Amino acid sequence: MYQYIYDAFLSEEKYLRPMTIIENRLADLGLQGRVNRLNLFKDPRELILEGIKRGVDTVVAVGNDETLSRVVNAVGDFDITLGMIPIGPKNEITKSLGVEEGLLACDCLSSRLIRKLDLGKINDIYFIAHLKAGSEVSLRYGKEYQVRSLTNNSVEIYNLPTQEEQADPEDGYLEARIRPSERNFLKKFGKGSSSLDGKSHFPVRKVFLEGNEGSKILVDGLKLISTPAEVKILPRHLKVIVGKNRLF
Amino acid sequence: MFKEAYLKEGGDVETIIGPSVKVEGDFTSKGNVTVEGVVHGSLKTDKDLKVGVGAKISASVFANNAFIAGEVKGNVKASGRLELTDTSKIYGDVEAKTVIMAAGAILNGKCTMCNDVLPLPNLEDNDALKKNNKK
Repeated sequence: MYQYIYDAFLSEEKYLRPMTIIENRLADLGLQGRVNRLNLFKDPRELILEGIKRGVDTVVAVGNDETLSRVVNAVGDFDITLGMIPIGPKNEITKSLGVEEGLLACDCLSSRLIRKLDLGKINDIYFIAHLKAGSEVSLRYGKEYQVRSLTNNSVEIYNLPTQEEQADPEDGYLEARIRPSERNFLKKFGKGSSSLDGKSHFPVRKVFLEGNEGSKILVDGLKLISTPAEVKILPRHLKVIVGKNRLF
Repeated sequence: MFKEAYLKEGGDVETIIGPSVKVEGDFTSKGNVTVEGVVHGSLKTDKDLKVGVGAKISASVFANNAFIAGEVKGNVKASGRLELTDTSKIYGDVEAKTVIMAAGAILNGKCTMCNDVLPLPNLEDNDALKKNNKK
């Protein structure tokens, strides 16, 4: 049984017609299910827990990356399958997963190409795509070694690949990248360019992010978490319906 | 020659310590490691190590093959080949099966070469190591 978690913005008038078309397509494909709408006061975890009690085995996030991120954080503790129907702007995560917008997402759901993906966890929060922080944040690998920035860097940890960054969400590792925030155009294309582009790369399973008081980490482009934070990976933890054009 | 061989495997370089970072502590890996930045402590890898021109290492270094173009303050031990370019500066003892030293390379320390493959020290368990074990 399917449960569809609609984001609040889908109640805007401009989304009424596209949603009707999508709902009709889902009905044609025999993929009807429970529909719940998110709002400020509704916790998706409670909605999903209620759905599971009623026999839901597939939860579908309908909206954008923010919707997906909220739903991922809610389904992390349950043994259910996650699907998504991206609508509107800000759908980079679903692109990485190969799920196209609108009606194509319905066909993707129908094909049920399910992959068990790694899931990241920062403190008590699950994340599927990436973490981003500033240069004041350092990486500490247990008591063994620590990695600090010498210049103005961005610290990024990827689970899913993007158009620019490679990562494999099925290898049991997160990819930590540290790179100069301001890329030197001349260095990049000039004679003295390094093939590495100034980037550092460390595969990690568990790492601590430490920083100054007030240092923040952006989780899946949505939530801000303060340092220090423990980051770890849960290998093959989440069943996800992916598309054939996924980036991994 | 070493550089070419190294670059052929460049597609699976696992760890890169870039020019804008500093690693402090005991860094271990079972994959190829490229250092362009700063390392303090110890650096061990079961595979190949490349130390770039701008790299500064204050650590004891253990690798299978090592290609060094930067500065190392500490002993360097390679179980295979050790290649020092004309920009390399080693302040410590080196030990390898084969040593290739370019004109202009600075080596202030004892050089030991032997036919037997030098055993690498036991590597500590860490993420990079596990990832390569898996592969």
